[in-house]
Amino acid sequence: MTWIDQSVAGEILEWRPHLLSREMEHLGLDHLVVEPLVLAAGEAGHRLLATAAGPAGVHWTWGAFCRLRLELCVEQGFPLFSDEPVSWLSKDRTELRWADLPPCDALELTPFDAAGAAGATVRISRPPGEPWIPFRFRYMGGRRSGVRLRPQPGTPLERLDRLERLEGVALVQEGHDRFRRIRQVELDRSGGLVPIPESFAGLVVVLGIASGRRRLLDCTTVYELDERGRPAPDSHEWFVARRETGSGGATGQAWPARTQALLDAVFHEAAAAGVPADQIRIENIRGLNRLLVLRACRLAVGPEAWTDVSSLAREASLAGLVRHLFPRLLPLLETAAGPDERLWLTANAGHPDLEAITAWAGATATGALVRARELIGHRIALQRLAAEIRPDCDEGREIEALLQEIEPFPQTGWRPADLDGRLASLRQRIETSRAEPPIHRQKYQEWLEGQRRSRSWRTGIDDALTFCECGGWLARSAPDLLDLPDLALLLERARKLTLPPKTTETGSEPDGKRLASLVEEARRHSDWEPSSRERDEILSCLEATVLPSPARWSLLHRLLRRGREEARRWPAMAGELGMGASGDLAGDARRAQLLIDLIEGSQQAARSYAPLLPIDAVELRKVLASPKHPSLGSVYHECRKLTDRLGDDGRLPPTPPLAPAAPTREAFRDWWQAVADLYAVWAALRQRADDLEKQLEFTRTSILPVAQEKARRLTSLAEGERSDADRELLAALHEFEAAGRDVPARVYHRFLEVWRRLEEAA
Amino acid sequence: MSNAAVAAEPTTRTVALWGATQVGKTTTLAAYFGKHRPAWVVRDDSDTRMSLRSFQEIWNALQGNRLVPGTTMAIDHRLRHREGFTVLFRDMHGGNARNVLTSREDAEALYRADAAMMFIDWPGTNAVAGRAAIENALQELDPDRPTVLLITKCESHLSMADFALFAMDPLEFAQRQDFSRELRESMESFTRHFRQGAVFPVTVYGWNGTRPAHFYDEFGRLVPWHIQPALVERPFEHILGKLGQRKEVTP
Repeated sequence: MTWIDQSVAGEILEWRPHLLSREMEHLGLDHLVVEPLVLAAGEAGHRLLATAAGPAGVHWTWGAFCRLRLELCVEQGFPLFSDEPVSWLSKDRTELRWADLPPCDALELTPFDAAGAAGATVRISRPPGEPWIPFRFRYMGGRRSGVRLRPQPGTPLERLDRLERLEGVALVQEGHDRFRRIRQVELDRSGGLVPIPESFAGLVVVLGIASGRRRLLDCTTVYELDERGRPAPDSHEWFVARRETGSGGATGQAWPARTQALLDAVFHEAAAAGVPADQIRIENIRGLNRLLVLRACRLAVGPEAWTDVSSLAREASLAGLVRHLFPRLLPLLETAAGPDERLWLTANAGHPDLEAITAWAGATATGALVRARELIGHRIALQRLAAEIRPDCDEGREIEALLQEIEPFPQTGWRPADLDGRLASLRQRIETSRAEPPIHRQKYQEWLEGQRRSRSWRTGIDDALTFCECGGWLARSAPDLLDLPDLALLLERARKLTLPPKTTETGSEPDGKRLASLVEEARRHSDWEPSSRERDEILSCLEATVLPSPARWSLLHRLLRRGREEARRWPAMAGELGMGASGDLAGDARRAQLLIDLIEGSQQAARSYAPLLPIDAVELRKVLASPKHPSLGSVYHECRKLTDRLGDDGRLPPTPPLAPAAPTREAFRDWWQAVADLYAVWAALRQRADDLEKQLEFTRTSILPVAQEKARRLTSLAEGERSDADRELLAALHEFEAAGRDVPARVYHRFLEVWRRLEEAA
Repeated sequence: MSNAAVAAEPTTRTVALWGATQVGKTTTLAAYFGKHRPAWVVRDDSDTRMSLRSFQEIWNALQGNRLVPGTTMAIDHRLRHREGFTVLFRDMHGGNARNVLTSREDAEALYRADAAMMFIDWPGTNAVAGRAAIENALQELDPDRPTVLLITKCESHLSMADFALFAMDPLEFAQRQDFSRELRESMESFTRHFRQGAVFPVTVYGWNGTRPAHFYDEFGRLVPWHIQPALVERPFEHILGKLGQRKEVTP
């Protein structure tokens, strides 16, 4: 599709396909399918055939070429005198003579190299002074004066047979450049006579007629009945002969036919399009070509391009020009499916949303592009809104829904109902929205940043307050910006803080330093929380209660923790002291300290008392640290039983010492003493009971059998036969035996006294 | 009760047995271990087994109705207690009881003993010696030391019922008009002196039926006859109980 043509004058044009060749072909604009490039001889040197044309013929040098295509050209539609207008010349020829050739106006020689690559086609015009078909003119005097015409010897007469008719015409000169036809004679292939008067002065012309066209084959001048000779090739006579006979001749076409046709079409269209005439010339052929291509593609160029067409030829290619003039278009053209779509794109190159349209329509037919253009404004508007509005709000969801509804429109052509109304309503809602958090993405980000800072500030306060309240640090998960600690609640908590009391706790205080750091940070970044009375008051509270001695808070909670640990170990003691989170930290601290002191005191008391008591020190400590311990009741109950048996209260208190009288150190000490006393009484009573049991054992083995034998004898007596002593013995013995194993001391003593009296009496 | 500090636990607790000759110290000791075989004794060391063998020989002699010779010198009887310490019963020579200054070693032992068991028999021919032994002991012994007074040979003077009543409340029983005045005075001296003192009437021989389980041989010696010891374990267990409490405490 690329070729190079060389004009008669040696100018060189290269024709190449361009960016929009397919589109031009699609439009039927064949003359715009390729674009020309004027080359200098040096630029196409290796593709040029070196020729030299003379009056007799053409001579050439083969160079790198090995074949030559020869095409005979006849201008102005006159038929060719040969059946083979194209012929091939081999390398054994280096010249052509016009005389050897069929009549023609020009030759077009196209060289080919060994690889079959074509060189530049060069056009060589027939020298204008040479007759098309040479004839011999001979004046004939006499009665039948005239000019005898015969083909030049050697002329192939069959060439004349291709003519429909041969005519001989006599043109008499009647003035300066004024001629008049006086004779017209039909000739045959051997010629004929054109009668002229003897006074004739003018031109005798041979015309060939074919396909309704006349062709000046040869001519001569006749003056004063003498043949003056042949006129020169460019003589005025040749011109007059053509003019007066209405015959054509070589037009002087400079370019090979294909180039000439393109040039003619371009120039013609350019003129028709309104290109200024001074711009329509071969030097501007490329610019003109591009101008017309752009125009055909409805790509508007500026008015300066019309007045300076060469400006369009500066880019090396049409693609470069398009890239320069329509930067957005070229990428779209490269992805377009076919000529229709590409032409649609060029026609809409000025559309501001062309990229969006093509992207939306996809690689589909122009119908989709057309529909996409119809709603691209809505789509872009919605996309802008989508970019502006958060997707997780009502408006964002509606935008997304609308976008999804119109998305298939380029393919389906289905348009959502009342799209404009819905879009307008949506815009109004967005413009008037005062939602919290904001629906606008940017405002939402600003809002989030504010929330994050506020949350950071409040979280720091919350941490500080929590530590002051509970003595621990909150384990925070990923921040939830919507979960903002309530400022009023923080203030309420801050107001409850009071400077903690001094405690007996000691040690390093990393927690205190962290607490102080939190408060200092809250002061430093107070601007993170919007200014408010609550914020300032919270800071004041913390400054007054934390900063003077942050370590106190840590020590206080260490004490409370110890208190809680001890309370878990000694729940009864803790319950007696009313331990538990009361919200009153000072009170809790006092109770914790008291608990710790009492636990230590109970341990010391247990160590002191246990050696003297029938209870292990560990067990005794449990009892002393556990008011209302169940052992107390059971021990007291056993003591009561033992005192009942032994007949001696053994300093047993009237009620069991279940718990201290009050939650004070003094009361606990008294209670511990009372507990120790109870165990001491219990030990003494058990010892006495054991001792009594030993005595009873002696009595049961030594005295009782005798007494029982005596009783058996007494029981065999009638009631009246028994003495008072007998009855007393029986009663005492009965009572003794009825008591079972746990004989009370009183019963035992009575039995012994009765028996003793009986022995004495005996 | 007052608070007391914990002291290092001594490994040996000494119990001094003090009383006049023939008052029944060794006999009572043997009867306690021979008859009762107390459960607190741990028999896994040679000292304990040697002491128990000694007591068993005496107890066997008594059960064989034979007299036991008197102690001519102090004898230490060591027995391992199940609570980890060793109880040393120092059976002191009764001949020195009348004049403790004659044996500084005995006086020192008596003074340093952790507890003491003082023996006195029913006033009779031996009343003066017994009273002297009590008075001497009261001079040497710390009033706060656990001390018991054992009144031996009750079977010779009291019926079983009287013995039982006497054992039940010795001081009250001693208030009876027919009670020995010397003995009552000795008891009162004892109870006045010792804040933790306790009086235990005991009988090693006991009674056979309603009669004392002994008789007098042709030399006028009181010879056992199918003895049935009664309440001999009470003073020992009382004093051991006090020692068990005393083991960890110092005022």
